[in-house]
Amino acid sequence: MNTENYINTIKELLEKSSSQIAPHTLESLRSARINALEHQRTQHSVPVLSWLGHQSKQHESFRSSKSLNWLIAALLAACLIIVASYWHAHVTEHEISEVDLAILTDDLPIHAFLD
Amino acid sequence: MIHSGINKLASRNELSEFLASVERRAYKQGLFAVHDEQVALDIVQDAMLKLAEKYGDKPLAELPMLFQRILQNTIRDFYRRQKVRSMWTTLMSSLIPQHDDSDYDPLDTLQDASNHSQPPRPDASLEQTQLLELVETELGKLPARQREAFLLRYWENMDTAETAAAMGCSEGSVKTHCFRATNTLAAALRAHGVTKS
Repeated sequence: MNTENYINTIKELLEKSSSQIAPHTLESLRSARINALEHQRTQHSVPVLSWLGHQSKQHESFRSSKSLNWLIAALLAACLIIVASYWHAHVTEHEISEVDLAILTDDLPIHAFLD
Repeated sequence: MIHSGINKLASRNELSEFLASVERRAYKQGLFAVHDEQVALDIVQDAMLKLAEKYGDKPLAELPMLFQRILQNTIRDFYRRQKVRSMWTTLMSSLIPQHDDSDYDPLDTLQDASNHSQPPRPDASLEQTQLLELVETELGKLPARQREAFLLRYWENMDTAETAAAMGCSEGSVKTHCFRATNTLAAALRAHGVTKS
């Protein structure tokens, strides 16, 4: 008897074994199956920008809504970068004008010389 | 068995049919691994629930692989929990003095021979019943990875690549595990005189 025959014999025995499972166990398996089906996931994954979800419904395909989400995310990122750079420029300008004013009024603080 | 199929999402009925088609083998796999009927049932229940909750909207063709992966992971989780629990039990039992036998009731474990609510034994031949027990015992004694590989490859009819994906290892490892498992099981059968060609 070669290996293939042993494998087939074992498979037959295992099939026989699985057909002889006790009724109360089968009932438990059936209950488990029904319980699982009640929790079946039926929707696609929620897009990253789900708070804009109502807009994605207006688009025909998931692909187009995904592109729109990426576009909005890119716009948001660009806005953030612009605001941050504007804020940085404003603060720097304010600091320079303070120093200029201090030089003109001979009121330069001592730490300005230390820098 | 592997469902060859169209790439459409599984409906409730299809998922139900799929689970019904795999639940017996899944239960047996769990039983071979943990040797406890209730725990094996819990494992199958967990695996079914995880599949339905997380992958219930996947195409039908992907379900067998996903289910086997979840099932094997759930079995491994059980091993890990058992290891941690036994570590704590050992630690605690060394600290707590041994209790007396007052809370042991022999009626809890007494077998009732006259209880006919249990299913009758199958009317298969004695030889086949013995062979069945032998194979189940030997499968239970195999190292976990060998048993896993053997059952997925030959009982679930997965090919080597699918088995490797379900087990999270290389195809070479699957072949090695299957080879060793088959040799062990064949030797056990030979030792009991199974030599028919």
